Amino acid sequence: MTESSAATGTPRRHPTAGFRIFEGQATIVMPDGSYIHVLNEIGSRVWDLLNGQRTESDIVDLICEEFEITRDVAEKDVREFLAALEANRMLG
Amino acid sequence: MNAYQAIIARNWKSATPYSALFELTYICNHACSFCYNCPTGQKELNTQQVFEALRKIADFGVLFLTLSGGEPLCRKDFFEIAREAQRLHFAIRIYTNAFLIDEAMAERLKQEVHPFELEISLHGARPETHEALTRVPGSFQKLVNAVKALRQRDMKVLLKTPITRLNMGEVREIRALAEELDSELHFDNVITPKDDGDQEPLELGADEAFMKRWWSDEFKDVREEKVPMRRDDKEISAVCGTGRSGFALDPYGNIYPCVQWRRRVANIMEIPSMKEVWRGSSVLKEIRRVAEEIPQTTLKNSEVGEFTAFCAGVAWLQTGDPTKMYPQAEVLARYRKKTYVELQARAAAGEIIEGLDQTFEKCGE
Repeated sequence: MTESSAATGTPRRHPTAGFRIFEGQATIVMPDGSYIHVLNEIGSRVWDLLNGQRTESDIVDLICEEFEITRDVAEKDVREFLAALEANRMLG
Repeated sequence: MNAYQAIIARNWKSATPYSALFELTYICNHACSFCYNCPTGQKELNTQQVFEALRKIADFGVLFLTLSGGEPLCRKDFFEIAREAQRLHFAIRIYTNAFLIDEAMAERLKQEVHPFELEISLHGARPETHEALTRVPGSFQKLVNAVKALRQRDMKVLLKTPITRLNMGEVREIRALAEELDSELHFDNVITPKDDGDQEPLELGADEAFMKRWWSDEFKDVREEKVPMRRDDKEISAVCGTGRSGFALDPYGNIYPCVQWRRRVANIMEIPSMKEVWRGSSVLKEIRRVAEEIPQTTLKNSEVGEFTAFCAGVAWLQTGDPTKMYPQAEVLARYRKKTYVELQARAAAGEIIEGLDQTFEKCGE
């Protein structure tokens, strides 16, 4: 079984995902074709940052900086968001 | 309205395209009698030129990319192109006749291209009907095998069937075949002229007597549109997404407002970016103006306008005027309306009819 990028500590978007970020909003199409995902502003930014080069902690730092939210809130939001992406097989 | 529909509505309003159809080649391994393609004999874009075009399309923010033809799989560099499209994060759809898709090809498509959908042309439920149109012996069985190979790999398949005089007698069997193949099916009632205006393909269209039956209860279990729908021009004012939600490219790099309305905008190899031509093109400005005018004139003044799936490109090819009602649209709308009025009367008499008063998606939506 292949280890997901989330488990290795530097999560990344699934390489087969089709997506565009337009006016700060990400629209994502997975190849199973069943859903089109539209993310909110913070989710879109996290998605943009998921290049497999940054740790979850790096991403939290950037979100704190850019959206002026506390680290506790950012940690919880990013963790839950990554779990949702993992559950939807959108990380790879 | 969900978040995705909100994006679509916003993009339509600002004429920001989210889809592109790229005809990679006019080479084809079928010889369909009603094919609308008109190769000019010019040199088609090479691999590096296609890559450059893809980069310009991606930079412009387009998400959905349809790889079409001709038969796109006939290009020897198809997988190179598709991999580049994937690297650019397009959501990829492929239009194909499936003739080249065997088990190995299906596996490569799954592993290397990851399309979210393959649209495959099916012209009949029997070999003799399908092959009367493709004019290639064995093409029916190859298609069936291809769809099975794709579905075994959980790849989404949409079968597309233009209704013709040849297959109108077996639409129910075609529906059954699609179900057997675990695939979606879309019937298309409109046969279009060739891109150069040649009207010959129209002779293959189903006759009016069939269209009348098509909209009756006889075929309500075969149609996707169980209950006839109406237009809704309130949220989105243009008749369709031509020059607005998407655009098309031919194998030579020419850009058109859509696959049907072949008013050349520019050549993608000759422009620095799509953004420049998209905002500045006088052709596109005119196309958008006409597309906004049609609901307020042609459709408003027609007794069946509310029920018309109008294509300005087909109108232009058939009548020379993109705003003029053309026979196929008018006939279809007349019977769609007739059935709608009958169902309204039955609903008024107490019959429960689900789905009445729904509106249909516009082309390009």
